[in-house]
Amino acid sequence: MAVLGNLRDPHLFPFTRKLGQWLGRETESFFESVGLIVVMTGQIAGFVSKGRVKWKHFADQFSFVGLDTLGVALTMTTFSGMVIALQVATEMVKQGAENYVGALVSMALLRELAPIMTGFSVIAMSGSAYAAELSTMQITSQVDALKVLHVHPVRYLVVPRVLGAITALPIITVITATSGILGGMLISNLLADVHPGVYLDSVWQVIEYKDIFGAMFKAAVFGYLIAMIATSIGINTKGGAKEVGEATTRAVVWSFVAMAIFDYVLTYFIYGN
Amino acid sequence: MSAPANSPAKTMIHVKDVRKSFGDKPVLESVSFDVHEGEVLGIIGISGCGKSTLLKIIGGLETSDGGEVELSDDNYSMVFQYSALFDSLAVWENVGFSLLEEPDVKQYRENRVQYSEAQVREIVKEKLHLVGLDGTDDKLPNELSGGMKKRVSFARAIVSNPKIILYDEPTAGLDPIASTVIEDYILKLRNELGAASVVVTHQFSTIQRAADRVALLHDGRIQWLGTPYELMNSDNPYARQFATASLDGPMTPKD
Repeated sequence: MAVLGNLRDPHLFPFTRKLGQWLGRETESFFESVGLIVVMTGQIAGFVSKGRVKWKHFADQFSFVGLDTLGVALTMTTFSGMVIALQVATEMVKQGAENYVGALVSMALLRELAPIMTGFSVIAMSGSAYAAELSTMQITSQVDALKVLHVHPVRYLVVPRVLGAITALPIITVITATSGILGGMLISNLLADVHPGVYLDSVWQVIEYKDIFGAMFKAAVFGYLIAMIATSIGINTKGGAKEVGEATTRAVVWSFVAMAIFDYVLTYFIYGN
Repeated sequence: MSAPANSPAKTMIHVKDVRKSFGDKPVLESVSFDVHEGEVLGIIGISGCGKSTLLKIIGGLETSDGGEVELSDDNYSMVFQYSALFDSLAVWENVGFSLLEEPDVKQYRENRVQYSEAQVREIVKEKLHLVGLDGTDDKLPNELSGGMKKRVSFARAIVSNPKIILYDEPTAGLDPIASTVIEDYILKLRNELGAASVVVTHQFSTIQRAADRVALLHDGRIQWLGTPYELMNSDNPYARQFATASLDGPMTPKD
């Protein structure tokens, strides 16, 4: 056994040991965060139901999530619409399915791509900022200072951000979806000669209210998830600059994962069977 | 421990048998003391001895594992080690925060006086004058030096005329002259507000200039308690080691 040495030597399998430690840490912080999100959601509901919302802060956050993200979200979603048209328009025209191009692009956008792409933009721009800002406030005792001044950190910091994300995301999703459908129209016309009238007719024929409200509902849930994950991780940070970085990364990664999982669940309940 | 000479002063902070562990590591094993009206109690000890944890427990920011903490007045405030100013708010909004913001404690909300913005600015001006920072009202915290931020956080702590003030390392990281300025404010606030104060520090000058009594915390207990003068002349091994900054003695630096 001399070749292998002592199997219990922690230096022998540094990778598995590190993996184990990482898993342990992530699992622990995962359950801690889920617990915190549940508690904070209850607190938010309490404050909102009593009307104890700082409307000015809410307006600031609404415009932060809405206006600041709009450029990125519009670009991403419009190009998504364009790329679908690029992929399918020529082929569909060849198969004589010219009057289904608009239907396909708009369904793909409303049901999936617009909420997802908009969610991605909000994670990248607002979620990361929330986690960095709140974790910095936590490690510099600003959150403690709020408590000493008798102000609840969840009401002051979390409620406006969560409400801002929940309300702004559905609105930008509708805007980006529209822009994506128009982008698809442009590309179908340029590359496959699909007439805009034909394209739009097929869009109108297939879109239902359910698709529009489904997209908005998905976006609202994504907004809730992104803001809750970012603020709960931020407000629970301990340590220094390194931990602020870790908190921000964790918030972004978990928001992506949570969005993917909830996207499936929501799609199943809205459109499934 | 008795109150300062010939003052049958009221007990403002009562701490009895407070315990706290982090995981299986005990930080506070049994801490007891009283602080009276108009008194400044300095809490000293080597780094990592649990001073700041004790202060957080008194201030309600950390829960203890056992024991009693009683504050005779709800109107207390805290000055944080790194000022903890809200960096997105101007100086005047920081100082006037508790006047501008609706509190989340029900009894305060009910007895609250509504101030207009002009009134708050007026009160803030007065408090900023008290800490020698006239004209900084509309600056942002990041435009101020460390010492100035600390004084702003003083102004914020005293805006509601608290009866109890808790200071966490108020002079750490300041030059000796800026430290003296802060120490003088601690005394000024004690004299003007009659507040009971707890000052956690490891700066010798702060204890000597600002404290009426000193408690030495080590191994989770108050090992010595007396006046700053007694600290210099005590036979207690802890007190002597701290007073002479010696490496020989019962306290060894923690890693």
